[in-house]
Amino acid sequence: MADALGDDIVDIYDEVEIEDMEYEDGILYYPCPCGDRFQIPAESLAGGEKIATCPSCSLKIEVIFELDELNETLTDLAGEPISVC
Amino acid sequence: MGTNYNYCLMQENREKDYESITPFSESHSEFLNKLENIYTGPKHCIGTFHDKLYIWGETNVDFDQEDENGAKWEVVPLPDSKDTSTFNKSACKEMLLDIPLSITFHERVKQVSIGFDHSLLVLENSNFVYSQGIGKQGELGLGDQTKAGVFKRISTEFSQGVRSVKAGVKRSFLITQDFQVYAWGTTDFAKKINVPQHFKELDEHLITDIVLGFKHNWYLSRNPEGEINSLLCSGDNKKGQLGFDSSRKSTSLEMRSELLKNLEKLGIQKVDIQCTWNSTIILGMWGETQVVLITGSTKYGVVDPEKDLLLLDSDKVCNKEDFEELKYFYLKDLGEELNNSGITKFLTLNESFFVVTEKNEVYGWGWNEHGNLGVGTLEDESTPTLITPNVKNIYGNGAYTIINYHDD
Repeated sequence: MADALGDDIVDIYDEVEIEDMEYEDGILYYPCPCGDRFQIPAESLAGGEKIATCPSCSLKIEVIFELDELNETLTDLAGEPISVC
Repeated sequence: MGTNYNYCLMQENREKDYESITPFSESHSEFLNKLENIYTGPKHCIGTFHDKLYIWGETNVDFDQEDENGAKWEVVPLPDSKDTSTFNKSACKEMLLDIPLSITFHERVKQVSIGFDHSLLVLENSNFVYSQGIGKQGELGLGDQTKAGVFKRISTEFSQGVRSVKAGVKRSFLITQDFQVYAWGTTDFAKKINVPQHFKELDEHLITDIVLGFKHNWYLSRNPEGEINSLLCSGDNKKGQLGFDSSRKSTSLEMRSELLKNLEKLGIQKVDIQCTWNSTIILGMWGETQVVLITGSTKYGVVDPEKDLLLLDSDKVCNKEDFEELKYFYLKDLGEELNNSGITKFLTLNESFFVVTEKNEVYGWGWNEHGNLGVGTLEDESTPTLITPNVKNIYGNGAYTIINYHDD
């Protein structure tokens, strides 16, 4: 699936609900089929970024989330209060 | 061949992709050849020999922990590998192991199954299951414990005996000898279940096998001849990986009797099912011809738009309305050579495929970003391509592949 983001066309491997990701030390993770993990800093989400990348391959996922519910969602995932926006 | 990012290939250079078939060193080969079974996960590998288990790759091991019998991990020296005396035994953290560690049980290892971050183990003559690794979704089955640096015994005793275990991404399944299914972790029907729970809805179906994709599940009941006589599925379908229209994002447990009937009516026999990360593959014999049907993710060379047809567009099928369940399955064009060869093994990596023929040749296609097909390039291959002859067995997962050759 191709998605237009600004001037760049990003080839997205999957769209992932933020609730399905894992939060660890300020970063959200999701399994990548190559054996590594997609990752994106929670603060990047607060800044409007929504593409998580894999450090080991070219695949990318788009994180689906509501910006106005981000702190609450991250708090649920982390099990402790998180505030990024 | 493929990525060594997790050290599953046990090569010293972690950053290198091995796009051509690269021989293991003499001591690595000797080590791998003596193993009875090799199990490969996306991040780590396990080998077994009698009551010994060997582990390498990216996983959670703790040199300070003991199993229930007091056994600890030991470094396996491989003479032509690095100096193991300097091995960093940092405790209870995810480790990258380019040399194997071993642990000895006091029973033969009957079965291992590897998920994404965890492994499950069954010992001969035991009604317990053991788990190891990381399991933030409860997939270890160890209650609140989310890390196990050795194989820890899950407290539930399966007095009926354990038939098999299946570790998936964030979830675990077990089938008892009397065909009850237990599940734990995060599945499509429950989240963060951290001890085994009896999946009673499946009792009447006498499940014998479970086949897992990334987030989709197939439950099979085979008769004594090995034929599938009952089939159910659950989980994600947003890429069509369960064979439904992809507008139907997921399903709870659903019988697929009509799918089996469609296959039977079409004359496809000896049906088997496998999964990649986001697709389902039905293998079968259509008369004398081996067929591979694929539904779900069709990118990265999985399906060739020039050659592969939606099954119902094939000229072998006349009345499409009679085969509604096969509407989204592609008929893979295996090529003349493979069509006329018996297939002895079909291996799925997360986005690529291998078949081993009766002539011991290996063909492969699909995602090849890390060179995991071993064809000497990093380009995806949409046509089954001959990779190498004289193959005894093939293993792999994620984006790496290990081939074991016949001696001669």
